[in-house]
Amino acid sequence: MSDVASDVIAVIAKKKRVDKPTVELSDRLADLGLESLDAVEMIFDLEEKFDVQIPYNANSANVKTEFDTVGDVVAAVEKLVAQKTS
Amino acid sequence: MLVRDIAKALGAELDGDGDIAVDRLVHPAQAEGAADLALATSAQAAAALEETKASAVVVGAAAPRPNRAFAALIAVAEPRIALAQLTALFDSGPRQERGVHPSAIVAADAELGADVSIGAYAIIGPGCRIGAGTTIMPQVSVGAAATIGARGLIHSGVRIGHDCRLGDNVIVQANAVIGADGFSFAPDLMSVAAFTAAIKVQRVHSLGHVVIGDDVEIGACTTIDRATLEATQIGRGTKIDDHVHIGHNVIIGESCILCGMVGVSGSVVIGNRVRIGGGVGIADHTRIGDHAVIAAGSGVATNVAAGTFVSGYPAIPHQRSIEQQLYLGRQRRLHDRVGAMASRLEELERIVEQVVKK
Repeated sequence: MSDVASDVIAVIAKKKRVDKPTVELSDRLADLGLESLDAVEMIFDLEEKFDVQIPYNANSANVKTEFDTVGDVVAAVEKLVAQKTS
Repeated sequence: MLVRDIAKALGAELDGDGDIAVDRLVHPAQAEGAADLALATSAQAAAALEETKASAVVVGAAAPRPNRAFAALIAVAEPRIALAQLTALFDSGPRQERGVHPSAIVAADAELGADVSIGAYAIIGPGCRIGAGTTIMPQVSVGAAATIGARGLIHSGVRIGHDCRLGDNVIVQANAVIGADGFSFAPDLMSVAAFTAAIKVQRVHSLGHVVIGDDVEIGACTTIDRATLEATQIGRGTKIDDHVHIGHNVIIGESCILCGMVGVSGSVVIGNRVRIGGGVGIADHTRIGDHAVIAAGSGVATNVAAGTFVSGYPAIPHQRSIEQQLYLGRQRRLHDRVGAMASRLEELERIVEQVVKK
């Protein structure tokens, strides 16, 4: 697993509201019990950690639809980190 | 109660012996023997089934079946609905005798329906009407000419003011107050400066009353003020949690949900099936449309359109609220970046100035 993936998982693990010992890339954010404000805090944490700005379109309704699974978040962050370093 | 009858009441399939008699509904870990029906519709309770002493269990039909066998197993399609039905079946109520307790004071002209129960030290004022099957617990007071419908349950210490009207099947939890005077004074002071020492604040009296529809539930210590001239109204099926305040002239529609510590100012109009989270404050004279949802802790300062989900203070549509949170959270980084840009700009200006001088 990439460093980004383990960092993203650590951030999401702090926010999850369900009693589940591990967070997997295939887990859906909704199934981990992340509410909209949890997702906002998740974005703050990730932006701070990786010094990127995660695109968020408020008009497309909620973060949960933009990022369905933990893997989606990892992919988005990895892309932003790659853009920053290139 | 026979397990067979319970399964039938739930409309659920029964696997095993329907003749087991149970008299308690418990968490699987709390079961002491065959007379206990273990309810295991959550994942956590289902895990406790492995060790339970119960012989009869209720599980969710969609959940994996328990590893061990039970003498009777009821599988329910909708666990939350089954919880409502089961708790109703096993609720023995407040266990107060029917009839009027000798220490209760009931006005001579009060009309009591069949099978009412009036608890110790309750006071029923002149001209009151209490519907058939209603239970009034100890130390309740019902003011003059107030009416309570049939099959109601009024818990201890509730105060129902004069002329207030409650529908059928209304449950009022302990120490709620229905029909206090409205918080209304004159003149209207619309500016900070207007409230001078010369102003004499005058009381606006509350001549109205409160009308509560059928199937309404009112929480403990909740207070509902009477109207100035007409009626403060709570629509049929609305459920109000503990410690909610509802001001004078408020009109609430049908089947709304108001969670604890909500404060509704005077003359607010709330539509049907509106859900209001805990601790929400609503400014006076605002209108909340049908089906609106207001997130916990919001402060509603303006009208809320039907079907919208609002949050925050002031309450705005939730997605905008979330967007604002995002921008607020990014402010520090924005500030740092603008600071860095300003330094570079100053440096550039200095260079340009030097180039121009040459």
